[in-house]
Amino acid sequence: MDVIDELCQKLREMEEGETIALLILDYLINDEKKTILLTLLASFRQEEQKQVKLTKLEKAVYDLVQELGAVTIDDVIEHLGDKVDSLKYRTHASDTLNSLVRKGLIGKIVYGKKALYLTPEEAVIQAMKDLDMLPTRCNIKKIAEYTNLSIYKVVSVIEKLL
Amino acid sequence: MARRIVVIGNEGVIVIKRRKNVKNEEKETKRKYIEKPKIVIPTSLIQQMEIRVESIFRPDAEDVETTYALTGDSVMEMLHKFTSKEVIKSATPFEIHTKIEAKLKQILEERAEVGKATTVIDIHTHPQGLPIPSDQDLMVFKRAYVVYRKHFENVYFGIHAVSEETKLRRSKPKAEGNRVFWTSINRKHEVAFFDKDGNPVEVEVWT
Repeated sequence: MDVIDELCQKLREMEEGETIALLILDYLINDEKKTILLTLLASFRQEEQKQVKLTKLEKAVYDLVQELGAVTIDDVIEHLGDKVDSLKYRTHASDTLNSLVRKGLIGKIVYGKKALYLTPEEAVIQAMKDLDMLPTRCNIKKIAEYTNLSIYKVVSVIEKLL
Repeated sequence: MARRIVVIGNEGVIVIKRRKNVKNEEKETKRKYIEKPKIVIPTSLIQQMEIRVESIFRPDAEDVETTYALTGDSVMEMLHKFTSKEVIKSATPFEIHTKIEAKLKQILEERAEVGKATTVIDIHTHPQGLPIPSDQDLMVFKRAYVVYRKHFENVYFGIHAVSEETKLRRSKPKAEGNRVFWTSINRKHEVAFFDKDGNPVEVEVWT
């Protein structure tokens, strides 16, 4: 039995097998949707594997982003510069913010030479405003690229907005 | 109890359908004659209202008026975004000229996909203004009411006031009388609801 047969059998055995099959089939209609499905599945797997650990510096900056919703490098210096010595410097503030982006905990939207760092919720909402989309009619892939968030994260935020 | 059906169509378009059972419909019909009209809006739809309004504004450009509509039954469930030149003839920071018939046509087309609604709310924005109808707004309400009333049992109007851009902390939407207000990370929002004569219509936010 090959893997496709195995999947078919598994779906037949499951109570919700037909619903799952219908949902998957809906994404196999064309190449564009197929790409979205494949990216989503890959993203789910990555998220499962990821063990996010934060340094003391990252934790302080992450808490600030959560508190304000959106911050610039200047905001980090203004709010934390006095409390955490190394965050007085632009390079350190910038490195810490970008590290949080790489870890998938916050989003980043670039406007010319300035960058705005946001919670995933605010990043998705801001992307929809900038790209003229609505949660009921949007391009998930474009939002993910625009916010530097994973597709999985974007989908989970949109689910909350519906 | 309302039944909810989620349909995922082409291009990831998500459509939520709500259907009431017949018994509830009868109860609601009886209640209508006793209770004052009340608009109920879920927070998720308020989020869409914020996105719709702020997506119009562009950096280094003057904030202009825009328009959108909400439809639903006892609870509002769908936002209709008008962008085409068929609907919006012109827009400035102080006024917007729209074709009511074209708006109605778009609303009916979009509702056809999810089922008929009994209530429509036609909303326009007042950038950096107050959510109070002007004399011209009141004239438009009356004319639009006649057009919408042919297809909807309840026709209301909304004015969405939105502040200029500044750094803010998000606050949750709150309802008070005929107004809903909240703040996004960029702007203060306040939406007031009225009937065709400009009388306030009470609103409730569903969390």
